[in-house]
Amino acid sequence: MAKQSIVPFGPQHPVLPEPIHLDLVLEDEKVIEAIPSIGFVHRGLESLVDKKDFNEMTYVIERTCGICSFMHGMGYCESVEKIMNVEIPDRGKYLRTMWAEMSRVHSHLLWLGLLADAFGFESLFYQCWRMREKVLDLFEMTTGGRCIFSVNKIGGVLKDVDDVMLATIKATTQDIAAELRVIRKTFMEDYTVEARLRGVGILTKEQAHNLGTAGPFARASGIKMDMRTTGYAAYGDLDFDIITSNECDSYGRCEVRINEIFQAIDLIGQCIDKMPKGDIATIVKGNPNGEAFVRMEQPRGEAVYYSKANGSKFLERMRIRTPTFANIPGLLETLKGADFADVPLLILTIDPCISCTER
Amino acid sequence: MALMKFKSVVLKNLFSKPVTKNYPAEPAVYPERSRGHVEINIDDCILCGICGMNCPARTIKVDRKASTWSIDRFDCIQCGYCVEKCPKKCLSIVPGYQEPGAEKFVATYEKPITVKKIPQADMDTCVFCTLCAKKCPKEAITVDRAEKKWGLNKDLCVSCGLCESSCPKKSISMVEES
Repeated sequence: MAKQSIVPFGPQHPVLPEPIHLDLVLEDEKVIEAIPSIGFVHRGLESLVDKKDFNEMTYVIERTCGICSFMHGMGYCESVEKIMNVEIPDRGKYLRTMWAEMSRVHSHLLWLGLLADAFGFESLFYQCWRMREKVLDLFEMTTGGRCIFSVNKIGGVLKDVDDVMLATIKATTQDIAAELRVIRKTFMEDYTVEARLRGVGILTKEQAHNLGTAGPFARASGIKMDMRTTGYAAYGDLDFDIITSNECDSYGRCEVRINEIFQAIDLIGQCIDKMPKGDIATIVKGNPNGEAFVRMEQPRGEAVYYSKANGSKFLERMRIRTPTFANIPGLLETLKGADFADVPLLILTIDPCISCTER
Repeated sequence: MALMKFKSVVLKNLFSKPVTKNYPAEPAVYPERSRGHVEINIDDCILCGICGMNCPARTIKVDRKASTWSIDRFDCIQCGYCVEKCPKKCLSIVPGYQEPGAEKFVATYEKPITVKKIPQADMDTCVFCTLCAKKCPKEAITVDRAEKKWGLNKDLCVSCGLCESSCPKKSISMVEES
């Protein structure tokens, strides 16, 4: 048996935008086991419900993470709305859905850029982030923020989007789709890219199921699971299929996410075409009393929001289960038997968001 | 498998203009809705303190005795909740970010002292529905339905006018304190 050695990976590492630490047990260049430790950016957001009232918490919760901030705010609001039996107006639902899908486009483009960077393709990385910039500009135009949007509130949304803005969103997202079709060829067909992705980090369908993986990571292993099909917000009125891949490797994960960008752009178009007229929010009176559990599909996978209220303006308990947290056991499985040089790439293929994980 | 799939993008980039701006020589253009910083129209402010009480970052301080409204712009998270909550709509969130600095500082705005306005209920039309008391952010109004009494604690009142706007019988009016 070759001599085993332990190499610490992270919390500071060029490939990691956020801190996670892994102890990699190596035999020569092969990873035998990876032991994770988290807790570097824990902020105790869930404990803040004691100090900030349930309306203020909307602004705190969406600061859980800078990439899926819209959906954190939306998930929290939906959980409190469920407790209070508030039905938000249709226009509010469609606007939430449109912004949620724009978040998916921006998150997946960010991930594609980071993936390109991880396998050493710098110019491809810049191309992806150049496209992402257009989505950020659309967010700034409609919500006033580039990463933190502050447009959700209990009972609906705070800002309406006029027809001129909707037309701009549609045209710009179509431009992104056209540009992405060109870039897609490089990700899916280029010899060097395929050499780095194909057959790397295999997670079978059975393993993905048993380890409780979520989102594109699970769908790339052939698991047909997408919380959007439960029909929250306006998803029940929209036409879409679950995108899966049977590749079960890094290439499959890349393929699923690229196809999901096209799907998200299609859903944005559907939202804009079907956008109903009317109010964007309902007036909410009183304090919540009861508990609710909401599941929704973030760019990284299924997120769960649980709120418990006791009739006062402060919630009693608030909990978020984020997709990265669910995907860490799956990541550790893919790392077993991998080459040491592939570790940064494999960590990226789950699209880790450590801020979300640690809340 | 294919080679040189990125070639067309490379060639296009080679002969096109840079996508980045020459910032700061070329200034950034912010859209109208951009949440840069909070501004106050201090003349309309009644120093009620509702913005400060609701600020998630607790960055706004209102001192009624000194008649000042102050904000630590370095702590402000530009969420816009104060703007939403302000009963007099004297707060707004406008484009333009706070410039970075070596030290944090607090921006203070002083309001010229004016005569305080307090609510007065018309007992002939008041139905003692208690809506005004429920709306009052400072719990300055007490309503006793059984005794048919309406009372105001003048010291607690912040002249926000929420009682006046919430009264279904329009029996509350804001009058100058004698």
